[in-house]
Amino acid sequence: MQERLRVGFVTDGGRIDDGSFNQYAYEGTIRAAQEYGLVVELIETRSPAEYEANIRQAIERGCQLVVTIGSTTGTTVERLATRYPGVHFVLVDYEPIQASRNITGLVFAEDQAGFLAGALAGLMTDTNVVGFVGGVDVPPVRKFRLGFEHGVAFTNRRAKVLTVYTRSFTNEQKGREAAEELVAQGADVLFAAAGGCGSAAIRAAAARGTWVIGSDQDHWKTTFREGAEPGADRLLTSAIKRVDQAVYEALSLAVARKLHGGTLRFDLRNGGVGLAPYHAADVAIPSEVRGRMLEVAEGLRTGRISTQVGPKGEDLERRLLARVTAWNWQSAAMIFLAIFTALAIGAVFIAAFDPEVWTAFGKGIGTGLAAAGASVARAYRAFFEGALGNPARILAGFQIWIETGNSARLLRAIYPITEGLRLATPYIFAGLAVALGFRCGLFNIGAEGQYFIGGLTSVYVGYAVKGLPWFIHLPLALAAGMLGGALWASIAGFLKARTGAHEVINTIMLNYIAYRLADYLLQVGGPMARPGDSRPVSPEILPTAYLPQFFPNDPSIRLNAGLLLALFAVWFVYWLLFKTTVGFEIRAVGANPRAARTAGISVARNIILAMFLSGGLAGLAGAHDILGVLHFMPNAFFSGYGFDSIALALLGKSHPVGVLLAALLFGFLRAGAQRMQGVAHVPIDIISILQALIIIFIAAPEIIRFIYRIRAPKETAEIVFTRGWGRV
Amino acid sequence: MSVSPSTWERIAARGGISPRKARTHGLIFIGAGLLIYLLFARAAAIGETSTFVLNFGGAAETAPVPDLVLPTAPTLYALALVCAFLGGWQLARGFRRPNLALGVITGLFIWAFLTWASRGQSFNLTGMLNSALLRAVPIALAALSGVICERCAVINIGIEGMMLTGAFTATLTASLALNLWGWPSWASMPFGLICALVAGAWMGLLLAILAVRFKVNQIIAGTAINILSVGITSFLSARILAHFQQLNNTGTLQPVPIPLLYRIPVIGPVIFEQNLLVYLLYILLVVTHIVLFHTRWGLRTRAVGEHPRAADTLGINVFRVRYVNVTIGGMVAALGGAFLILGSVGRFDELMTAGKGFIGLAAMIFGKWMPFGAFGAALIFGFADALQTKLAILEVPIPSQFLLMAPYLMTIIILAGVVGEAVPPAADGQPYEKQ
Repeated sequence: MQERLRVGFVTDGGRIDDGSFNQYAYEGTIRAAQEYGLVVELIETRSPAEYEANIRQAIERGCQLVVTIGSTTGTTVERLATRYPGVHFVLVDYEPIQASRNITGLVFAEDQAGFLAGALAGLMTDTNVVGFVGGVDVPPVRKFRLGFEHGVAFTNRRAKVLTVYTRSFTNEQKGREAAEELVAQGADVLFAAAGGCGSAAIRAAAARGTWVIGSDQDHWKTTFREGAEPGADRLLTSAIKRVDQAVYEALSLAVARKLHGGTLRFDLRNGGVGLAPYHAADVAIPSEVRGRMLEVAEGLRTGRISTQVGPKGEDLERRLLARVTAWNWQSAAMIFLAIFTALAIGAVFIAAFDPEVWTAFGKGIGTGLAAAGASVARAYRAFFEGALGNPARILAGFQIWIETGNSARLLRAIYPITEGLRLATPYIFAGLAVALGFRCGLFNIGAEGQYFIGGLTSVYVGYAVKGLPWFIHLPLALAAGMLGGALWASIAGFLKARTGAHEVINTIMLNYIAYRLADYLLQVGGPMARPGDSRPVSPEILPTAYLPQFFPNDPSIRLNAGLLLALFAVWFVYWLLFKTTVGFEIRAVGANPRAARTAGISVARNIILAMFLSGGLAGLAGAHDILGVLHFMPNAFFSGYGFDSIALALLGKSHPVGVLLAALLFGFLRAGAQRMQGVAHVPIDIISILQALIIIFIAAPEIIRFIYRIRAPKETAEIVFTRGWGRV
Repeated sequence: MSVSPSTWERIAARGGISPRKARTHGLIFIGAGLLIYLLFARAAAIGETSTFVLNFGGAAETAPVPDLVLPTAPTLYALALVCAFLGGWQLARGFRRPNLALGVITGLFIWAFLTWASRGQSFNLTGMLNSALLRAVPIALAALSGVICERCAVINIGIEGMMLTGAFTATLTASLALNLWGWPSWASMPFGLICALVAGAWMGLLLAILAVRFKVNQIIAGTAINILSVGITSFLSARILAHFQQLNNTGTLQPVPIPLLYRIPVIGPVIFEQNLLVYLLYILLVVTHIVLFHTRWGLRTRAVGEHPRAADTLGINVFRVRYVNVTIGGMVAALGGAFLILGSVGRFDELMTAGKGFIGLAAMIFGKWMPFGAFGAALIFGFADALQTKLAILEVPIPSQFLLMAPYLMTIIILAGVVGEAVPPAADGQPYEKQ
């Protein structure tokens, strides 16, 4: 049997039963000792002067591992660690300065616990004034304070945080005075992170009837002695650091010989910090507040909410540079690289299947390669000019406009840009449609069919309803398009909710049915055909149903007010998904239908609702093309929106703003591809290839990381897209 | 009509379905009878007859079968009564196999419909069945591909794209060999077929890599494959096939009657006088069934589909099983695409699969992830598809576009009606993470 590990425990100047870190760290040590059969040498430090001697004493007694509290004694231990390289030190609340191989610091995300305490304080305050009592301005306390301040601001923008530092962790008199001062200034929630001094502060504040929140450990058990002390019912909760758990885990690692020098971090995700139970205050906390707190905790855990506090206690808020560097640049770079790689592969396709390149290769490898390069250059030059216009012509047009006031040249020069925006408009609607479905765990491939039906219903209202002023006729036609798409999609939603039939197959089947329906209605002599016309098209809609043009004096520019409507839709979907109960329920069903059902959310209702809204957005895409661009309905099959919109939602990570950016990209891509087809004779289907490649690269970022040798980033929250067959 | 709840429970227990569903079934049966009466029987004039031709005009003509001549109105009334009676029976006593009863009712309803549609005319039933089988083959192959993939828990939404790729590859390579290299057609067609299988294998492998190696959401991976296939085939079709017409002409396989069997009256020429690819489907069905349910590989596949962790614990290489099965699934899907070319039309058109891959997935679900079940379901879809072309010839007063919707509507109805009871492999769609 191997020799038993000897662990020395040295207090940092407090007693072993101080109701604070010494006590909890010791409890964790004892727990590990009992579980793994360790020998523990306990040395209590009476005064700071004897601390170093005590550690030496522990080492002389043969301890290979020393556990101690490092918030004020870190430098001493760093010095000792270099002297005793064979001994490993575990320090609570200390981050080793150098990469010492025999010091393990246990660091807690106080900012997360403080953020939660602040969120609760912000929700509970009536006076909109909350107080913070800090001990000494050391990193843990600073992280508590900043987390608390940002937490308050997160739930209550009007609330003000008053801060007092007592400059002591032990002086109870100072704590009481600080509490009195804050209460006098109107604070009705008080958060203290000041050791024994803070305990005195919250006891004093609670006696005055103020809500109080403790720190480090559950003050219900310590300060208020299981509720026996007066004022215990005013303790809302405590922002706790599980020091015992952290020490226990560090010792577990040591036993397994996996304890290395460096820092072990404990946060909400691994249960190292958190809020204590509400105890006696439980009855006073409204259920909305509870729900909001659960959401905030979940947000912090998954990383969706940031405490805006850095790991060393620096304030990340309000500093632009810090915010910019903290932004997830890598994921943006990944999207850029995905598009770039897709374009590169597209270039191979363009060159490889150009008949001119083939003949050039017949003359020799050199000429062939030159022709291939020329072919790609010609195609992509047409592509970018089609997407963004020719800068020189735009400048010239601008000059003429400034000098003469004649805008015709300028308008012709910016035509490609307006065309890109015009093409992006239906993409925005359709992309939002798919993104909304994704948020509910639904995969709406049927945007195509919903687009068709939306077009049919809006064109019908556009030509059949007569004699209305435009401000009634236009909204009516738009509403008809929306409703048509919405009802069409609801069929699949209803079947999914009631029978579990997968929406992927049903929406595709509905696409084909929609084509046939349009074919029937628009065929020559059909119910919606233009009388006396030999083409299968609907009648022209009345001008009262036209979406207004941006540049009425140049009719070739087809950009119209639909773009503004699309931007409004982006805002609306954002607001609906993230700021309303309806959106919360939709996202809850998407994230975990079983959990949502347990929480009393109707899964069936939300699936139908999400499909309804999704179809409505796709229907608006159809209405835009009819009312804003074509002004009649042709019987043209396969617009391609169905598949494109999936790529959009994926690119935009199912976020409305992301979808907007992706839609703009696709709009310009398509405008460019049209010109590429016209000028360089590259079939427009190249767009589908590019889109499929972009989807693959975005959905499997490992491929991009492999190609460009990028290391994997930190774990981020997962977005639910869709699931398998059957009922949910 | 009052029936105590206990009776409902008894009826439902016999059929193994919920009381509510049992009652709905009964009402559907009676409704079918009522519809036959209202829509068809009342429209038929006294003395009219419906003629069903039972000869196909193929090699079996040496032994012609007499036509089936039915008096229209009496037949329709009889069918309406039978449906109503079956409905009453379901309500009162309940059938032991409700889905079979539902199938019989559907069959009776279609019979009534055809009797009505062909009143005063003759309708080639054998030709119709033959056409139904031909249209069912690509759907059955798509469904079989789905079965092979999903039995090891990989959802393959990309079948449509794999079929399209297979069809395009078969067209290009077979035409190249036939028209440019001057191969005889007995060599060019197998060459095209093999190339299509290779292309399908690559597509399957791509899906497997995305789904198994990169753990991409399988539905998204499949959709990407669909878009990619649409893009590549349309791009190349515009770049190559549009300029070189001789590269878009493969010729088609001729039917090869199987001796003796094709002489069986009515069904003989339907089943045993087809081209070789149809026989290949029969063989594939039997082989897949045997492999899935009677070999070690099949047992492993199903174990991986139901409980990959347990399979892994027992030493089965989950990733390998998935790679192999999905690659084979891609080949089978591509075979379906190649059939569209070599066994049917002989030339490629953009987006020519027209949703057959997705219909195949519905057939797979309807067939409960069993090879022969999927084939049976595919036959129903093929029948619906064939029906609309035949009805157009009979000049039925229904717009052709609505008849064209039939297969798609059928898919929706069948998915809605059956999926509740159909249980997919337990781990279907979930990526496996080794611990």
